[in-house]
Amino acid sequence: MALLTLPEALDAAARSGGGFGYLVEDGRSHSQQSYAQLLDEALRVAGGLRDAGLEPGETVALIVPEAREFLTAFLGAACAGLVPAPLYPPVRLDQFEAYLRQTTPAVRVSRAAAVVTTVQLRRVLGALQAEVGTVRAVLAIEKLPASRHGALAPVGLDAVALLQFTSGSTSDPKGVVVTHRNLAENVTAIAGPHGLGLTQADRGMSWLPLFHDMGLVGMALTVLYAGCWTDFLSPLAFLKRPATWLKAISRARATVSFAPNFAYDLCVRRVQPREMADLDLSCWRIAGCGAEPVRAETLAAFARKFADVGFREEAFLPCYGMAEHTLAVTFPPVGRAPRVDAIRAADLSSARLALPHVNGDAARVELVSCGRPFPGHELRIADAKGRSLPERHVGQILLKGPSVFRGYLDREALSRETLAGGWLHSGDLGYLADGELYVCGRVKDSIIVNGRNFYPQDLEQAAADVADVKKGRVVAFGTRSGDGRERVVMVVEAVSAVPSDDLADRVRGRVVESTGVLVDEVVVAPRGTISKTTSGKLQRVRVRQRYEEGTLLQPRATNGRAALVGHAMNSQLVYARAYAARLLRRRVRPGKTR
Amino acid sequence: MTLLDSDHIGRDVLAILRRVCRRPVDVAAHSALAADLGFDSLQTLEFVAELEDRFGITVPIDQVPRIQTVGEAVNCVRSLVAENSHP
Repeated sequence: MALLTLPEALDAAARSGGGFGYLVEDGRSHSQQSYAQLLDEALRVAGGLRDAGLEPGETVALIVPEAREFLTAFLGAACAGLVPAPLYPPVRLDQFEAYLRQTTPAVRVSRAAAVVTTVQLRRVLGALQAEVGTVRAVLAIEKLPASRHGALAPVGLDAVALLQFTSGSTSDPKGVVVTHRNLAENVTAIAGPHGLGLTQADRGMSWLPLFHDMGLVGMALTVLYAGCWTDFLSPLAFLKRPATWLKAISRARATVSFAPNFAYDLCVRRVQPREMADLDLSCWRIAGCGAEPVRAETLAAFARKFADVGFREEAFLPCYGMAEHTLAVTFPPVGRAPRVDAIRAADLSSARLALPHVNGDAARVELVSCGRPFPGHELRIADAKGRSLPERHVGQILLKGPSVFRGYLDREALSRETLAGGWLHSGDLGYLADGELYVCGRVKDSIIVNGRNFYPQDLEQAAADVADVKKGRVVAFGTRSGDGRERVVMVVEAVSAVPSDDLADRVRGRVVESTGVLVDEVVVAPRGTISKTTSGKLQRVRVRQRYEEGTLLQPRATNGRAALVGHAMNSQLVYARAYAARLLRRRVRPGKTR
Repeated sequence: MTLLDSDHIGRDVLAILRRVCRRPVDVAAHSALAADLGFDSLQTLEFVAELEDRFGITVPIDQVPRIQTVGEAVNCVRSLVAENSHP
């Protein structure tokens, strides 16, 4: 199949009979936009952007909350030969200063020539023009000049198709450069016979944010290239009432829908029996699960709960992917129930070996297979020196092939390091068994919560603003608890010798307010617990190691108090200590593990 | 008499709040869901959905971000319940 650039793919899709549907909150159809209409509207936007003085090859930052306007603006920019850089829109208009503070660095890094937004947001986003030198205009999509330029700008396959800002902290954003060739290769692999095997009979359903790779590349562009219909539902509508997603699938007879693990968990926990009365999920052929660690327990619980309304376990497609690989890396075969590998926990943490668990062994860890790489793509597991490891040995996941991104914009050293030796260093740890990939941790210290990557620096910065928290003595890290869930832990030292009881609560409050991350546990540690190092990363590694071993609060200090508060009840602490030390990615000294 | 215990709406909102919170908290009308009670966005939305179920109302998605404190939640429920009874 010939590889198409985005404008070519839209042009081809316009003849397919497919399109996008946009649902209102209750999941009923709101508006439809056939690809032919979308092409028309995108060409109008493209002409308007050119009339506004934008030249092919320039970047535009997209800050557009609604799906229809977003996709029209995104494809309009592509048709004009521009490079769209989707950014998270603000959730609340009254916290604009904080939003601008968080967004300005990404706009600056993107070197955007313009910000494309909506009439409503334009007033407040106007400040970006003054703030970022490259930005010549802040344009409202509704107010673009009505243009007569209707032709697609010629772009080559090796031109940049989009900039993704899903990696990197908000203070130090990294723009992932994806070319049209990357995009075409990845979406063709996703949709093709070794991927989902999409046909025109398929219908997608997505509530995923379009500013995120799985929502944009996976659910919008893949179906566009394949010429099928897809409906979009607002992320907030799903989060408010998870049943809305399932009802929308059932009503539209959707066949394909992807979501992170937490979304399936949310359905298990929050969908009420009365909300299931008229559900029929037998149409759901592919229930993709990715963007964060996939938990066997979640998939099993979801399959159990929704079996009576037609959901089949074989529909699950646990997968692995990352923005630096355009999106998807591995898929298991479609139509196979999730393959679960039960391994011995002790070997995993001590020797980084994934050996099958047998009855009578101590603790076990269950991991879900994410399948194999696509044809024309390579995957290997490597040790710290880059040497390939045999099956069932845990190491870093390295990737090669046409979906691998070109690099981070303007970050040559980092790009060289990430792409060293011609392999994309994913930063994730995993192993192969029977040729299939199992992901079991991370080399990098980012924290994944509900499918989004968060950087410890952002959490630490927020906590450092709290009165009585000692500057430079704040550490945030993620740790896997015994059930495989990621827990966010923060360790802080106080300035005063006897900190007030609510210090931990104030830290939690400040962090959730500023970053949206709910910290599972705040440990107010005695002074001197956190050693001052030059590298935040090293500091995090040391503190996390001691936390996971359960030695963090062993008396080194004689004054001050070690208060464990927040969510952490005593029993949970014992649980976390016992299991966390055994689990994953940390080499634990013999004798300390049990 | 305060905003939270003057009628069944205040008391029910409080009961739902405690259930969604899943840990003991001190709640006042001015308590902020995020900063004081440690709610993340998922919990806030769960709280709103539970309010909808209990009171038979629909809180439009674009109104949700305006609910920042316990008092704002109570007032939002009151006005939507009033709208329902006087269409």
